[in-house]
Amino acid sequence: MHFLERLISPGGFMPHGYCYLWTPSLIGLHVVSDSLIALSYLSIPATLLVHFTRRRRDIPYSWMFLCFGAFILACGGTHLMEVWTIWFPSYWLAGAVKAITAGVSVATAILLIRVTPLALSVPGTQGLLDLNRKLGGDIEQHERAESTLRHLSEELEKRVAERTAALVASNQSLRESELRYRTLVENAPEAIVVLDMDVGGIFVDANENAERMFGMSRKELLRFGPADVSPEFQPDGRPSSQAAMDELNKALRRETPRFEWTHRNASARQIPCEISLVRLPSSGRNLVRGSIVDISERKKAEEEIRKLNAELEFRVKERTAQLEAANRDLESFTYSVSHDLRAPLRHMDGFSRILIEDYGPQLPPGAKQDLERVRAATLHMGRLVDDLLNLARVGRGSLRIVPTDLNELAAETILSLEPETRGRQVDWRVGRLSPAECDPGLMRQVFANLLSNALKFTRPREKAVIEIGEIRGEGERVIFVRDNGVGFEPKYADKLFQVFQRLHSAEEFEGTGVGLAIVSRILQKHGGAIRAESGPQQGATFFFTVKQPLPASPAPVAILGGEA
Amino acid sequence: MNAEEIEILLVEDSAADAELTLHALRKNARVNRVYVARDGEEALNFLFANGTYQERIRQPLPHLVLLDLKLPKVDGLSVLRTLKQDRRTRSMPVIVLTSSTEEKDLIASYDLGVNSYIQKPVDFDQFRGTVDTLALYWLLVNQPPPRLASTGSTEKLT
Repeated sequence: MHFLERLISPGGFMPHGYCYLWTPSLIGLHVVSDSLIALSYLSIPATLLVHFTRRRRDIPYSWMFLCFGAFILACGGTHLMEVWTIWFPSYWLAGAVKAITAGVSVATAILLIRVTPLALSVPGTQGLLDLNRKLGGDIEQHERAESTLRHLSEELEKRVAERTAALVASNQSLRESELRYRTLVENAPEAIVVLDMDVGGIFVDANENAERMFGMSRKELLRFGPADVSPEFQPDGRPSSQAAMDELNKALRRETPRFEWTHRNASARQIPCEISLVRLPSSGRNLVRGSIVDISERKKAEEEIRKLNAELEFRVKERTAQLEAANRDLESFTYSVSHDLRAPLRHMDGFSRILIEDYGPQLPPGAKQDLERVRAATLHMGRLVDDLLNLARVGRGSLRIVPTDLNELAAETILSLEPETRGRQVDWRVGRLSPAECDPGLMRQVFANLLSNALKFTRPREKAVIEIGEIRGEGERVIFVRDNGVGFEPKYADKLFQVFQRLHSAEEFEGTGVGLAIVSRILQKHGGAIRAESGPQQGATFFFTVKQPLPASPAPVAILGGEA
Repeated sequence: MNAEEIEILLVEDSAADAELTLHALRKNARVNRVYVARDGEEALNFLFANGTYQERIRQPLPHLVLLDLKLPKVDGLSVLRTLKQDRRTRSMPVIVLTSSTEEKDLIASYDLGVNSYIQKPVDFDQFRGTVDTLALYWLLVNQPPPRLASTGSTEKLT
């Protein structure tokens, strides 16, 4: 305190103004100059220190600025003290400020000397500019490199992104594909299972239909193999386990076995199935996919059809047996008719004849005539029997169809009827007949019956005209036999072809009523038909059809034509 | 013995038929040495000298057999088969004389080697004509095989 008091106290000195003799202008000059110096000196360090050094921390040796700052501040202090001492003679204080200033100046000067070589090594503006340019070049190069690098990096990044996107997409499509297949499998109408053959052929996958079919959950099902969901034996007698293995092994050998199988579900119901197996493409694992279709309905239908068929077959057999029995009966009937019915007739006729011969002269006149009546009736009965047997034979026998020349048949028949035309005038008019596909023996009978009929019913005519010919229609040939005989009433035309139906009395015209029935039957058997047209006393015309040889095979026609 | 030699064996179950046939044979063809067997068994016994016909051993076989088909015991086709299969009777002419012309009878008869097949007509005049013709043909026109061994009496001559 004592020191400070001494420092500040005037200590008996006179203010410095006295030296200026209080000349106001001089004092004013000093005060203004010193004050401005002091102010400047105070502002410089503030700017220098606070503004510059703080902003430019990168400037090397910035502490030198601090030293300069302190030195200038100190100088400013001495100038302030110059003003102060004009009025207050604190020369000690002024001296102390000067001393501090001196110290700071010296120190700064020393430091400056020491720092100068170092400061000189700091490049100047030009150097810095050069350096800068160089640096600029470097930077440019660096930037180029960097740009290339960035470009590459971008490229890489793009490619990584692309690859990633592709992977994501592929992953997505894989997932979608899997989903699609899963959906396919799940929604397939059949039950689908996957078997792993490396673990003894057990199910490792199954769809919903498989769950439904076997009546168990997927989890339950995946503990089993095919033999566990099948009866012990298949319908064909094979043990299920062995049979399943056989089929699965076929699939492993890349065959695609398809076979019928009987499964058994959880409630022990047997399910007829159709199974197809295929080995699944799988690396390292032996997987087989089984597709199982429940064919119960089909089996049932098949069974039904088989039953119906069997029934039908049975009925056909039954009917055939009945028919055969009827045929046998008919045959034995006709056989017996043929043997036994004619014998009594023969006896009646024979003994009547013997009676007439041996006892003729002894018999009364009427008796002989009566015996002749007996004989006539007997012979008529014999013809009836023969005709009936004939008719039965036509119905029973099979046809021997061959291409036949009808001209020849007609000529033969006319020749055979010659005895019946004796003493009569008969005009045969035979047109040209095309060949036919028929049984010649039976067709001969058709001609014989029709022509002898014509002869018979033209008997009252002075001159019989019998015409044979054919009419060619649309794809069909009709043969006709026309006579100028007594004819018949058209309203009875349909009766003509019935057995035992006669339109004339036996006294007028003999006959059994079987001949035209035989004709009709023969033509029916050939797939043909017959009809008749007539009027009383107008003659009769019989029209009939019989198959012709196919035009595709004209050979028989030519041959037969040649023969005729 | 020669006079009693049987010319024709008639195998016929119907008495009336036998009567008519014999009548026809006697009347025109003047064949009298005819023996009638009433069934197939009797016919075979007669020809092979079996049963009641053992005494016929060493008697010659008839010249001709007229055979009906519908017969009691052994039917006509069986008789025919036996006769045509036996070496001793094979060459003896056998004629089927029957009512029927059933196709199966005709086929069977000819298959078995019948010498002729004739249907008896209902008309007695025709019947007589037929019998005349066959007797004439087989007994006179036709050259018979050398007589084969046959024996026995002809006591049942009718």
